[in-house]
Amino acid sequence: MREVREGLVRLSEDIHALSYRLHPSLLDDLGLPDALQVECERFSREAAVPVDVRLRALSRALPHEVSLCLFRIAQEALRNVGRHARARYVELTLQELDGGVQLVVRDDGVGFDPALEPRRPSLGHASMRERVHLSGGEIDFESAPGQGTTILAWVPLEKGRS
Amino acid sequence: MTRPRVLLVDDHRIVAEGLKRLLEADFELAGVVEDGRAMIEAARALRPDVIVADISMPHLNGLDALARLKQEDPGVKVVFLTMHAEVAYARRALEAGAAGFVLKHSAPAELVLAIRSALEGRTYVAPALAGEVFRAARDGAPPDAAASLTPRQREILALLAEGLAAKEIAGMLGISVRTVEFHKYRMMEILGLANSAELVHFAIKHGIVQI
Repeated sequence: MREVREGLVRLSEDIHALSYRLHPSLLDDLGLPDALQVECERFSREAAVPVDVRLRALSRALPHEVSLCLFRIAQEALRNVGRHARARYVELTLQELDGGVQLVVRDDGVGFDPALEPRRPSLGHASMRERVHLSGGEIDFESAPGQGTTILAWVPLEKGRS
Repeated sequence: MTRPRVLLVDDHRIVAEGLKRLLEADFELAGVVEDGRAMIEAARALRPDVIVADISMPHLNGLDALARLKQEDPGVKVVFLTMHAEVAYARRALEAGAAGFVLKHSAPAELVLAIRSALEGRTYVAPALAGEVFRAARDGAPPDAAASLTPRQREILALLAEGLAAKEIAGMLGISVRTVEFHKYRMMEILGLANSAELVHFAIKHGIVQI
């Protein structure tokens, strides 16, 4: 009986975590900057890697689509760092730029060789790229073996502007 | 016996021509190219035994080109042939893994000696600088601000210092203009510089570019 109860508690925790990943109410509740702050703190705790969060004041509330897109990019980027990068330090920047919002996630981990990517495309990168393009934005991945990875995404505040 | 193959990298044609003559007696010339980017491509394609390269070159300087090649092939041998008789340059070159550091106003035989040393897996430093280089290494080198930049940032910095606009740099590197802008402002923050002019000055002072 106790085992079943403990099993149920774990299951409910997992479902909660899963639903959070699918639809982060955090984002609707707090807006992108605070949601990123929370996400970075969570990552930092779990992966034991400090994150320097650099949020520049935004001139206005962001359209939901823009927030969701960049939040997902940040989540994916942090997940990649946690999985592969063996980083000691992560830096996340969010700022308004050029009629849009730019998100930059940089780590100092093992990096990868961009020349090899066309042959071994990363699913994470492909999904980030897809997401940004659907929002009318652009994304760059920069890395070299041993030199960390930087992901720079920009999404326009009004779609159709780029 | 096959002669060792040497790749020459120098953006001054007269120098490159002179070097060709100087080296053809002892070595086979694998090719001659004129900048750091071409050096990387040629090294990949021609697989020379030794690369003789200038440091100050357009697009990508010799030091940064060497750093990239080292990532692909840690055994790559590059002998720098430069007009910079400063210890800072020699130190940076050796830190980057250069196999030799020879001055352009040295005796020609010195270059041949440096190439031979490189082929044997040794490192040659111009006698005029060797003493100071070792002294600097022993006393501990000052922290290098330029080393805190990412390879991509150094690349962008070099192109900015050459006077290229963000848009041109973006086109050249196949990245977005906003990515270039981000790096530009981030570098100013990291290095504590106020504007583009100071950034260019920094690039020149640290040998990332030569104007």
